[in-house]
Amino acid sequence: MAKAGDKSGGSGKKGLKRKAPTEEPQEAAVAEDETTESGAQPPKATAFPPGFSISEIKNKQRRHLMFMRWKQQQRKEKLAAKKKLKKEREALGDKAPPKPIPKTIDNQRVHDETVVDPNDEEVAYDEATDEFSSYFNRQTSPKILITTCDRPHGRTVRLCEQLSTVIPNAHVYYRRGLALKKIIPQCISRDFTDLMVINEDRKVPNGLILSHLPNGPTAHFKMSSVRLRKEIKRRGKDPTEHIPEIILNNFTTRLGHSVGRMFASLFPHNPEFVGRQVATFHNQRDYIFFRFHRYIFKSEKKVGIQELGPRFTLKLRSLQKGTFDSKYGEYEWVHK
Amino acid sequence: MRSRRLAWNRDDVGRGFWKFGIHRGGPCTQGSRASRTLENGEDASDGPDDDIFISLAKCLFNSIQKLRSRAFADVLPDPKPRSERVAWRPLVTSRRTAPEVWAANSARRYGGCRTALEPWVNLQRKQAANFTPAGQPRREEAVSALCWGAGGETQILVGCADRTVRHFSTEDGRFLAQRHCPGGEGTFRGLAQADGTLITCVDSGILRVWPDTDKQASLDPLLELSVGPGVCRMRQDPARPHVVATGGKENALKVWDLQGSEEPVFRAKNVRNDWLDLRVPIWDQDIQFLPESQKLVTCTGYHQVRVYDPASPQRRPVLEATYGEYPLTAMTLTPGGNSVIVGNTHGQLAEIDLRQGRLLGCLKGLAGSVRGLQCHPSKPLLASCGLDRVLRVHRIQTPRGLEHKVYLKSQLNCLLLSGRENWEDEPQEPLEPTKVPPEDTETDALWASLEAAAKRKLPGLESTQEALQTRRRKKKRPGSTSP
Repeated sequence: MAKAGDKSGGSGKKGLKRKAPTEEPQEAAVAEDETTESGAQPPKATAFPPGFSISEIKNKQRRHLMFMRWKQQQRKEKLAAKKKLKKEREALGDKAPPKPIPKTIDNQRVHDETVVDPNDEEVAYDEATDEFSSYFNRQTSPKILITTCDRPHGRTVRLCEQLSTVIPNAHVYYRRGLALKKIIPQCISRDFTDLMVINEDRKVPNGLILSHLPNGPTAHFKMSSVRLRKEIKRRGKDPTEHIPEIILNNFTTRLGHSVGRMFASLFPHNPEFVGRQVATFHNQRDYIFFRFHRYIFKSEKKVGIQELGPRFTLKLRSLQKGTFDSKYGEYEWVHK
Repeated sequence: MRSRRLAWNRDDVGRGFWKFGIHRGGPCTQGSRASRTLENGEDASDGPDDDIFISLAKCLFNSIQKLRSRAFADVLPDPKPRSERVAWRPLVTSRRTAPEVWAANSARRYGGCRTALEPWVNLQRKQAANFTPAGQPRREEAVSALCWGAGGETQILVGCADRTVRHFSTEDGRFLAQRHCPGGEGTFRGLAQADGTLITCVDSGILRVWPDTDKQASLDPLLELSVGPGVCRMRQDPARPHVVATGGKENALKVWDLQGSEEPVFRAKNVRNDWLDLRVPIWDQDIQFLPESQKLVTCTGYHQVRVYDPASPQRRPVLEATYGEYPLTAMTLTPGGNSVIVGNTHGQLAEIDLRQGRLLGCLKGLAGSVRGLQCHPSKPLLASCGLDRVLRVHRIQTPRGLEHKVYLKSQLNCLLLSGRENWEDEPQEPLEPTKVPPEDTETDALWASLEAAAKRKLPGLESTQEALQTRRRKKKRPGSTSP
């Protein structure tokens, strides 16, 4: 018994490079037999009761040690398996089976049946006669009113000013405790086409309400990751007065179409390519990333870009039919 | 401070908003008051001082009114005697859900939507076919009301936004006739059919009874009533076709007997002032008649569900329950008869028991405002449609959950559920059941191709019928002597 105890103590110390102790209740017995044969043979792992796991060791340092050892073991095995697979593939050459595609979140998604088919006539008719049709038929040009919640702090005010340089024909007004429902009829009478309200919480902008004005839908977004101009590294000089181009990425479903059209109707129809400025709304997994860049084509295929302007991330919380009326309005889509 | 207070209490948002904003070349740099342009017929003699005086006076008046209404808020009203208190008034805010999806079942329903397409949905094959009156859909023909026509469930009356009522035959799958129903303003809020007459009610409150003849010559209504402006719903009693109920925004519930006098049979009274002694506003969004009694249930835009009993001497609601915090837009009775299912503008569906006034459960799934709800008369199925462009069928009892979901590409306004019992046994429409099996497989392929082509409209349907006819002709040739 003492001998076994000594041996287990000894092998414990030497066992820094040994196999994991979790696997062998039987090997413990074998170890006892083999230790009698020759001291030159590497002593086997220590004896542990069956069903033992590393997490049951009370001593933190020892537990950490055991875990590291186990991890290293796992890594070795994985590397060995990879090498073996690679060798097999090389051996087979052309006859090797095709590489399996890795599973990503985007791969595993269930197909969304509301994805709009470009040839769909019903959707095309719907879009030709909805609230944005007057913009897309070039009958109205956008005029935006940007305001904030009551008593905004410095970050929000600066964001509003920067947004007004990014979006042409945008006017910033200070909100002085006035109700949105009273502002909206006045905006309509002064020919504004959109109202943007930036909400703030604890001195940081966190929400955006975008209302298309005559009687159009109102989208409520959650805003996060707001970076003002001076917080953007390696940025270019301030944007000029040229009308930017717009890129709308991945607005494929019917809801995406509505929201995408809403963003598109913020900017005038005639981008000035001389200015080489572009505003991007990139939708990925229901988060919309807004970026504003200046680009220059160095050659046919190489483009250099400089990020100007503010950057933020939006997530749609609700789309309400009609102008802003959160209590009695009808919602087209609510995030649930 | 003073300028801020002025801004609150004036109807105008306040010159300050437009003047002091940080704007870039906006239209509103008005400069000093003395040089401002005169608006809305103001007198030149009205100096800036008078303006301030008037606004101060208005401000004082408004604050006095507010104070008056709250003056006695701290004095508790005397407790009402038990007989006078409303039977129950629970505040129902909890939500319980038990989602589960069942195996596909077959059903048939008809829905109306904003661009005048009438999707006829066959859930057996998860297909929807669109029917338009004139080939191309038009927004003027948006469907606002649907009801079954005469003769069982073979005809549908479709009320469109351009004030025409069209007859649609479900067997032939096409529009038969139409009639224009002028008078009043607004869209149809109720459509009903009784003893060969057509009853229509529009937004501005004109309720008309039209003779339902095929001749378009008679344009005069048989009966015309003015119900009051702002009507949201007109509903016909299924047990007594000549009895009709109307209700709307600031338009209390009224029950009319079309064969009786011009005055309503029952006119509901508003509930008492609330605990602040303020008048409770009225907004009846949907009305249903309870079977086997004279009672009516209404759901309001102020998230209340109320039961009225014309047989009792009390004109106020007999029972009241509230659900949620958003306006309730649609309501339907369950097959049991003891509960109603309501839907609100946030897409929440709830079943409320009318005997106890409590919430029985909720149904998940809808993401947009609920526009149409209907329960099957005997099976525990509920069809719902709304602004999120999807038609859903839920199972109401044991267990509660979503059964079918069909994406229809337009915003849906109303729906009609056929009450037929044995959907599974019926052959596919519109073929006769005596068709030879090979032809059935060909039509199966046709249906599949229709589905793949994503919503063919009427021309597409015609071409399939033509194809069927040519095949029939081909089959005849080998055995027959006719050319």
